[in-house]
Amino acid sequence: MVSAAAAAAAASPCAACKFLRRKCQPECVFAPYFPPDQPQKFVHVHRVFGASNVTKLLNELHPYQREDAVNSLAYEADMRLRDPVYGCVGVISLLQRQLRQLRVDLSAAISELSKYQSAATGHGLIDVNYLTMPRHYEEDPAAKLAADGSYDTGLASVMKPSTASGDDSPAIKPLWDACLKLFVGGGLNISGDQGVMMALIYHGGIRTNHIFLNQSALFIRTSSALFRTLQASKTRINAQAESTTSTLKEASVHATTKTSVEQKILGYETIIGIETHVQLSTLTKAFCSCPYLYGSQPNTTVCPVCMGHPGTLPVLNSKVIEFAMKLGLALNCRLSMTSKFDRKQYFYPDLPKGYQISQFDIPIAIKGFIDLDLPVEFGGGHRRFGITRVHMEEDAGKLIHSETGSYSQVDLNRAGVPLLEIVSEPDMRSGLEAAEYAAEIQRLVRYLGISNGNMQEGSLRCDVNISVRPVGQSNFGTKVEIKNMNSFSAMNRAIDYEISRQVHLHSQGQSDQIVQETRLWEEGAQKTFTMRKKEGLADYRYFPEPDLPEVILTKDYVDKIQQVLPELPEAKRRRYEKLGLNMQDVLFLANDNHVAEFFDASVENGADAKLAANWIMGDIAAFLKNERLSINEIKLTPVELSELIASIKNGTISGKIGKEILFELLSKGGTVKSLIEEKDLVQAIDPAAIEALVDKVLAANPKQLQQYRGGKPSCKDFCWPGVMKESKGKANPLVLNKILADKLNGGN
Amino acid sequence: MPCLIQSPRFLLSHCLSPLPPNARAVFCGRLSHRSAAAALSSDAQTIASNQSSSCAPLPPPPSSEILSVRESLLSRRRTAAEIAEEYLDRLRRTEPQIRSFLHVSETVMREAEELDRLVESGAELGPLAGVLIGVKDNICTVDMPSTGGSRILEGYRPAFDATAVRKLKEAGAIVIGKTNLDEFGMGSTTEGSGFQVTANPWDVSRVPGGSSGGSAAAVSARQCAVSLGSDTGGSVRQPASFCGVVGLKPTYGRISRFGLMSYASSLDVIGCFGSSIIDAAIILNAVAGHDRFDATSSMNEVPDYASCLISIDQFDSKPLKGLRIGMITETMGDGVDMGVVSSIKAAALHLEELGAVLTEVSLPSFSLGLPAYYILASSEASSNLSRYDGVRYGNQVAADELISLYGDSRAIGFGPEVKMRILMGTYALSAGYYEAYYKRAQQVRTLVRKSFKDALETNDILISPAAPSPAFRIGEKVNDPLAMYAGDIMTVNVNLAGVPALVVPCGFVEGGIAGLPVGLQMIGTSFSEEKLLRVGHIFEQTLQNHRFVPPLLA
Repeated sequence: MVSAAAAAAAASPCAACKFLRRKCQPECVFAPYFPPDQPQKFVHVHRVFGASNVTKLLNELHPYQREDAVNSLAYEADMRLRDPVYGCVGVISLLQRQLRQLRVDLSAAISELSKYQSAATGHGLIDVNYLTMPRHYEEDPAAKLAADGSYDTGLASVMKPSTASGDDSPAIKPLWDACLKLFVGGGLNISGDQGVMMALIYHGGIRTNHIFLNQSALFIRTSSALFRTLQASKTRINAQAESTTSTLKEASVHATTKTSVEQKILGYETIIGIETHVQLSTLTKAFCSCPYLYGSQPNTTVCPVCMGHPGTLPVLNSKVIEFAMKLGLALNCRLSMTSKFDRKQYFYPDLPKGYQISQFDIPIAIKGFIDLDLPVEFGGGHRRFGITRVHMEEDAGKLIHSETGSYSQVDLNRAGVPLLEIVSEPDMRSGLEAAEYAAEIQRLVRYLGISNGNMQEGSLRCDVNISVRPVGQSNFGTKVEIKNMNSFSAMNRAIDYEISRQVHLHSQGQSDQIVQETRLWEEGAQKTFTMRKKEGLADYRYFPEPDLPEVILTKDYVDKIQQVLPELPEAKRRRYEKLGLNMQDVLFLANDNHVAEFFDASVENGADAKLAANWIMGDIAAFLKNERLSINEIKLTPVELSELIASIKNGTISGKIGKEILFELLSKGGTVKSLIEEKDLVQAIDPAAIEALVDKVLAANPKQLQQYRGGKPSCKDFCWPGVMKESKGKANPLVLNKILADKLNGGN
Repeated sequence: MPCLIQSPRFLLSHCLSPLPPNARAVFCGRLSHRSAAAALSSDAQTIASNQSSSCAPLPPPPSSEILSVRESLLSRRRTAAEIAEEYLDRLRRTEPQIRSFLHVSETVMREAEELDRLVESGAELGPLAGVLIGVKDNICTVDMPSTGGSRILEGYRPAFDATAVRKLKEAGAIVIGKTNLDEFGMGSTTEGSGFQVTANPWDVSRVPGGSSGGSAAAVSARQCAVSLGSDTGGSVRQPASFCGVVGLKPTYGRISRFGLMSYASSLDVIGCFGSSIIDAAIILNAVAGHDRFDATSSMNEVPDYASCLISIDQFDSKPLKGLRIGMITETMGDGVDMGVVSSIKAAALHLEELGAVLTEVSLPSFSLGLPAYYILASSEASSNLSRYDGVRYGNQVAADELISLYGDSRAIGFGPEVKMRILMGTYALSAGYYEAYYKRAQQVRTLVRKSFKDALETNDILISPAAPSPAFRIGEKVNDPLAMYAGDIMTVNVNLAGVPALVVPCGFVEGGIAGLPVGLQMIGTSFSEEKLLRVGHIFEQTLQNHRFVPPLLA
């Protein structure tokens, strides 16, 4: 190619020289790479990099490297012109984002799949899980899906939160049977992969209550992600399909024994308490001035202080106290006006000083509570869980174990990052309650702006303590701690698994096998495994941290913090309820503080609450999902949303056109008024104008008119689309209807 | 009467050299100064104006090394390089016997020459320009190894200067090297160093005291002009007494601890040594003050410690008139060397002659301080030393398992005294023992603090010996840790109370070839360093017949 270009260059000046209006020398450095037939290539490169820079660059390179260099310059220049801000990085990051999403989807799919496998392998314990699910999932969405065999319909019906009240009676067996018929040699002949997909959805509908956990939005996302991935990895799943379908039979046998197991779990009481670690989003670490950025290269955000070098001393970041006070107040706690730090001592390579600075006997906040509403899909209900204490401490670093396991490396980036530990009272009774508690903590810290609450990044970590005892027993059962759950749904599943494990042991008379230990949740296996057994109580040799003075709060400061607290999720939900929104809407809107702010701003600008909620939960949410944006990244402003709603309400535009405008606003911005004017979208309500259009249509279709008058009322319909077409969709439907009726029946 | 031994005359090589008349006036006599501040800002005129003051009768009171260096530089009589050369020469000559340095800086001459260029250019000099300073090896210095006297940190070079060191450097001081100490400051003899044993310049068969033995010995032998030490339970004051130098333990929090390897965080203080009160005051001026890297450093304003000192020609015969001095009864009784007792009594008499009102004061909780101190210090040490695990820095012993990596690195890295204190501290903090030991010790600490507060309400200053005995022989107490611990009885209470104390050489007892020095401890209320230094300065100038220059330099 180079030689060809060179040959061309010999004939006429290269694109570069031509553009620069100079004589193209035989040794011209541009000539081989900018042939005269591609003038645009040089123009772009020149505009972005400048000809002299390119010359310098090329001269520094070996000739064999130049072509690659020019190609990459040309690509970068092209991209830079297309996207002046991010250039080719934009494209790359977009692709990387897609890749990441696909990976997440894939792992979700794999975990879903493994769940069914484990269910299908006939593990007796899983059955109990089936029975712990709230009753009302057992109703028709899945059956509907099975009946019409269409994924989309099935999905849609599952996505809709069930409105029917929980009915205790519908036995699961007929449902199972119907499905099994479908899957295993039933009336419909479904090929392997489709069968599995449907089986997955079926399961998703009836037993993985976690999917419903974070309200419908999450569910939509999870299932659609599942879908895409499944289609993408058909072949892999195909292979597993056969075994899954065949073992489903066994599963059904277990399902039929549900009543007996249900009675077992009914005889037990579960006690759950949670310790939550919230990583604070302060600019710098708790005791030094290092920043903390998740995902930084190992040991790049460290200093002698957080590495525990000799002679270094901690100095408290005052933001940590401010954040702790905010959370303490938001959790309705009593603040300790004088508290102190203590050292918790143990040796581990991720703990640079050999002790963790924490708070032991005088935490900054004690004795509070948190209010939350359970999701409607789970029957709803309000809960109040007690908070024992909130205290400040520092995070440890991370160990990175080599693949061979022969050595480990220490990354101290996270060492010294401020944490708040929230200890709940043992008030939770189920995986759902525990997961909802954690979700409410997440909402709270996000509302307060003290943490990003991201579970995947470890900004929010929950350690769950579970014990089970037979109803009526006064002593608590042996407490087991579960760690390593990085989503609320994982929490829910892990806890329900652990409950069933413990109940099973109790029911088998093996309760002595429940020992005080820490268990890890394994997402792949959907089980908990022993991490370490506690041999007696660890002695952390707490003593007051002598390097830090006491933390003394003044009443003025507490009052000041109290005043700047934002409206919290619970207050928001109660207020939305008063606006007349149903609980479904309330929970959706209050779930994300940005969404809530958007909604509040829209309502403040005069939008009808219910209509605004509908728009946000419907088209706007869908747009956000598709574009993977958050609500504060879109170009639509709350003012314009309220304007849009008002324009539809007062009849300026139709709902259909409103929808069209909305997408313009979302993607490009602008104002409703200018868009309406620009596109000439004002709804025609002038009866005379509409009458003229009707006349025109009627005149053009005498035959249909005849038929209508001849007694075929359905022929009325021909007129509608015609008039709408003529008016470009702007005719006010109400006015049109009236005129049409008059005209058709008027008989002139 | 104490055995009064005429000490050799204060001889510095440059005093012997022919000097211009004005300089001779300064050196043969005392460095006359209306106030140290005036001297600090002294220029040729100030010195010229003092020309008239006649030489005092011999022997002269100790002169300020810092001020003499400054005067030499300002008058261009000597260059910084010459001064540095002189100290380095003396260091090389005495070091084989004293062994007070773990590391001697290689850049001293270069820094001195740089300073000379600065002098040449007429630039303003920092208050400590050209002053050679020794720094205890548990205080971090960025360009030199800092080991804390422990093998576990052998070769460790910190990434930063301790705040105190940074301030000294900013004031123009040149760090000459790192001085020896008992490992991490745990000991009273400097025999506990992981590297070498330092000898007392007054008698090289004796210990210099500890843990800042290297810093005290270095100043005593004039290997450096002044030095920094650290004082957790008397580690500045006891060696100052043993080596016949001035040692100042400031109020807890007066000097930033940032860069001082923590031994017992609630007791640790950086202190300073000098051959005169003026030097100690000037150093304190330079290093005191709040530091944003140390949350326990005090926000209290820093007075000009040097300018409040009164020169002998400024005061009458009763300069301490009305000053209430309390002699702590518990420190003068059984177990205290008779020679020491008589030295202190003589010093008290001397203070009375200067106009002070002397009373005896009893601190009933005094004897409780020692056990409380050892529990608290060991407890904090067991925690503070956890970071030396061989994972991130220092000596790591290769091991297959994590637990043996920790175990072996620490077993090999730490010396026996450190291990003993870690064990004691770990025990005291263990579940079930915390209440009996740590908590009770804290209660005792509160009592001690209160008794000092009460005593210092009725007295302006309390006095006591700085140690129950003069310097003892190397190896004498190595196998008797309890006897060693008991030696700290005079000093630990001051650390528990957090108040400042100053040790001034006040006399001699028999021993060695020229007698062994004894130090007088003066204790004041929190942040009363100014008062202590002023009284100490008057005492030092009026003390007849004693000059504290070790025979080694004769």
